[in-house]
Formats: sequence, C-alpha cells, structure tokens
Amino acid sequence: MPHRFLPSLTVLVTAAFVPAQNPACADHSGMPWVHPFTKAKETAAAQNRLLLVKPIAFGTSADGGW
Amino acid sequence: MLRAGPFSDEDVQALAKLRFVPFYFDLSNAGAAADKDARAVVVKARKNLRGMAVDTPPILFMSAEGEVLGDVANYADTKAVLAAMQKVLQQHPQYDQPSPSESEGTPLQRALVLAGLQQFDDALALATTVDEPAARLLCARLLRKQGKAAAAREHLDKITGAELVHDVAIERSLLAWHAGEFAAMADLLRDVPSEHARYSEARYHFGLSWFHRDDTEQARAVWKELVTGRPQDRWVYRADWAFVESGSKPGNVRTFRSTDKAGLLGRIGYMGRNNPDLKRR
Repeated sequence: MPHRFLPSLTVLVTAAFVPAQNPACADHSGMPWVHPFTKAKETAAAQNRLLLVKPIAFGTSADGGW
Repeated sequence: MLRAGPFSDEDVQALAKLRFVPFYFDLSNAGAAADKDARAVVVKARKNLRGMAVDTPPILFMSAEGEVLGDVANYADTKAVLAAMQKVLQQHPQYDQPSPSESEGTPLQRALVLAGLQQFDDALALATTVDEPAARLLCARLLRKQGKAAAAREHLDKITGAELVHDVAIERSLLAWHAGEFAAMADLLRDVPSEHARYSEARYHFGLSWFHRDDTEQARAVWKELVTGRPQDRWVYRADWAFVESGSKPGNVRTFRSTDKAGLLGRIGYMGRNNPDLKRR
C-alpha cells in the first residue's frame, strides 16, 4: 500500500494554484483570528500589537480548517 | 479550525485577544486557507519554510513590518505557548501597552482584563472589592488557577441564588477534577442543562470523569454525543481529540499522516500530539 503523507513534517508547497481568497475563518474555538493577512497587519500596526502567526504545513480543507 | 491544544486554552485566548493579532494560513498556495501575502512575508523571514517540503513550522510572533521577534514550537503545550507569549511581550514592551479601553469599565471588567493579562494577584485584589456573584465566581476561578482550592470554595460557598448555580457547579467540578475526585466531578456536571452557555465544557469534563474512573466506553459515548450533536466550539474540538486518543492503542503515537485516524470531525492536524487531560493520575 502506498504510503501517503498528509504532512505536518513535510508538505508539498506548490504555487500552481492560488485560491481567490482565504475562506472566512472556519475556527469556532474563540481564538480571535484576523483574516486576511493584510487586514491582520493593518490591525497590528494600528493597535501597536504583535502578530501571532500560525503557518499550517498540513494542508487545509475546503472550509479552511486543518 | 484550530488545534485543540494550546489555542483552545482560555488563558492563551485571553492574552491573544488583549495583546496580539492572531492569524493563520496554509503555507501551501493550494490550500483553502492560503494567503500569498502572508506566505511572502513569512518565507522571507524564515527561509527554511520556502521549499517544496518543510518541517512543521513554529508559531511566529511578528511585528506588523514582518520582523520575527519570537516563536514557539508547533507542538508546545499550553504552558509553553503562554510563556512564549509573555516572554515576547516582556522583551518588547512597546507591544504590551494597554489599550485606551482597558482602564475604563467597572472594577469587575478591569479585573477580567487583568486576569486575561495573567496578572492573577492584581485581578484577585480588584475582584474581591466587588460584592457580586460574578466577581466571586471570578475569584474562585483565579484561586483555582493558583492552586488554592479551599479559598476558591469559600468564594463559591458565598454565591447564592439560581442565576449562577450551574456556573458554580462547573467551577466546583473543576476543583474536583484537579483534586482527582472524579465521582464528585460527575455528580456536579450531570445536570448542567444543554441550553447553558458552558454546556460543552461541562460535557467534556463529564466524559473525563468517566475516563478517569476507567470507563472509557462511557467517556467516549459522552464525547461522541457532544461532538456530533453540538455546534463546534473549543470544547467540541477537545472532545474530538479525546475521543480519537481514547480509541487508540496505548502508546500509539500520532504521526500526523493521512494514515492517522481522523476525528469525528474528520480532521487530523489540529489535534496536537497527546491530550493532556487523558494522562492517568
């Protein structure tokens, strides 16, 4: 059986396809994610806050979850 | 959806809300949560994330200008994530300034802000000046976090009336949880009604009360009912994590490959390695 990785340790990073936009945050944990990055940066600059950036190397599903 | 670990912790969330702008994205431009602007900034700062295959990236603390000022490993536990957040703020105090609204509000509201900033002693000092049931509940929560169970119970004993009866029961159950009194924990949580705002939290811990009395089957039934029957929230995520892990063979290590068993929510990656609540005591 082929060993297929859905990788947290490794991920294929491809520039072949760029979605039109990041889906609205699909997270329901209460974490106050700000999307997209341009808005997050603007918010951080305006409020003099640090960005807390979580890059995902696992792949995200259609609703933006992982 | 986020990992059911540190990012679903109330203290991490509270500090994030007060002092950070959280953002997540998929490093792969093919992912649904891709963000090419974010990718450009992040791979410029961390060139090891540029390639076709990368190690699991850490959580990054960055300025709005794209400078990385700190990080913490993806698999760090809640305590480590919280400590890293506090450390980067201490090292860069210009980002740790209060917002104009923080000095406003009632004493209870300001105590909540202090609690969110992890200044528990100051929060407690302020909350104890407020003679309201909600303030006593906050005092009990803060004292529990400080490991002062007896003092926490004294505050809970003074909360009368029906309005917070289930909140008090949940808080007592968390004290029982920390004391390893699992039967008492179950008794306190059994009757929390489904319409209560903290129902998911109550059911998650109700499941834990069974798990730690060696009735894994009953625990998993509680968690499954919660995960499949409620809107997603952080406790639903955590219950999914517990459901998956409690159904795995002892010692089975999650590999975060597609061969891993997905949760009831159909996901793998967000769960983190081991649910600390399942550690046998």
